[in-house]
Amino acid sequence: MSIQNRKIYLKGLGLGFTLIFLLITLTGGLVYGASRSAHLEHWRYIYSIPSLDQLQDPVGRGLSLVRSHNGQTAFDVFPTHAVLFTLEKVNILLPEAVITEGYPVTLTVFAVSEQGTVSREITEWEITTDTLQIGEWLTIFESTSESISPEETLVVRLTCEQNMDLQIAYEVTVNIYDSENPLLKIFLPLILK
Amino acid sequence: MKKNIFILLLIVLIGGLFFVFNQPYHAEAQPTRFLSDSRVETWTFGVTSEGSAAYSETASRLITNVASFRANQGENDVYFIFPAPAETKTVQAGSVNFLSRSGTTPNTATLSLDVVNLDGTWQHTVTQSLDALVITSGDWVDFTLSDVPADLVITPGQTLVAHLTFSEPGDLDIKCIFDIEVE
Repeated sequence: MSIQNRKIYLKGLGLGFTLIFLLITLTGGLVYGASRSAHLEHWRYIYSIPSLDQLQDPVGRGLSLVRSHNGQTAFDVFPTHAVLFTLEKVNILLPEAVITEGYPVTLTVFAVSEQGTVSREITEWEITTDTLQIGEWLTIFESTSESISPEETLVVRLTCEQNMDLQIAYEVTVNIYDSENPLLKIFLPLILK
Repeated sequence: MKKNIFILLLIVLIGGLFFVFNQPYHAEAQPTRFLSDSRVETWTFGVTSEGSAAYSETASRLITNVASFRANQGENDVYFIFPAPAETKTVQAGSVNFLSRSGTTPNTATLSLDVVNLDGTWQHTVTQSLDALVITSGDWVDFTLSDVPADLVITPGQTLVAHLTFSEPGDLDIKCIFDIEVE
């Protein structure tokens, strides 16, 4: 290798290392920044609505720990949040065996847009006599990358082919990114994805 | 010279990576996630139930931060049921504020924080009992936690309740709010 080529090689090597260093520093800084501006919350309150067109109209229903329903489809709605959050875990509990008919019951967790339309389905879980464990918490969803935007609402839809009388308690674990850093707001969804 | 710079860069990189990845994270999340280490929750909302602490009693009832303890409902035990946790929680502190109290009861009325099963079966008492007849309205009063660490624990399948016991019926009517810290 000539001296000229060697110089070029060394310059390229130095530039490469510098770029890698900057990239790692930037990514590390962003992730570290995110870590210092995030906190976990456990949501255990919901309000129930009979149809999604009542998403913006929870008046008169209020919050409920558990719900009882006689019908075929119902929606349990969690709070909207003004900032980005990730859905970490969804736990459900059936306090007692009150389902008398209508197995199976399907729980579909999805995100709903402000207009009340389903933006995406997150997970689906079928309660049957095999999966039903009265009095025990059951994790039906666990993730580290499911982000919910401020324009979306987390909803669980319950469907059953026949009438049901069902009580479900929820514990939804969310990680809320309450950073004011504009860079994080741009890059965080990319990092999470 | 170049070799020294390379080694220096390498040390800085390793140090930086160690600093970033050695941050506290949520114990049950993925090991490489970076979350706030604060796991303390404040519980204020619940549902009042007269006579039974079974979790099914909360079905379809509005949840509120105001507990209502009335002695004239034919029950000597009234509960304010907090949400059931899916993970083990430990009570760190608890306090109560009587918004209003009217009437009286012929004998005693005591208030404590208890842990019950989902069917309402009593498991253990978290705090010492407060005399509900002497608490001044408008003041936050701290519960004294049990000295036994196991008494402070709420496991999945259990729930925390504020339990007011009347020894005899009367017309005592208490409205109060709670502030419970769990971790």
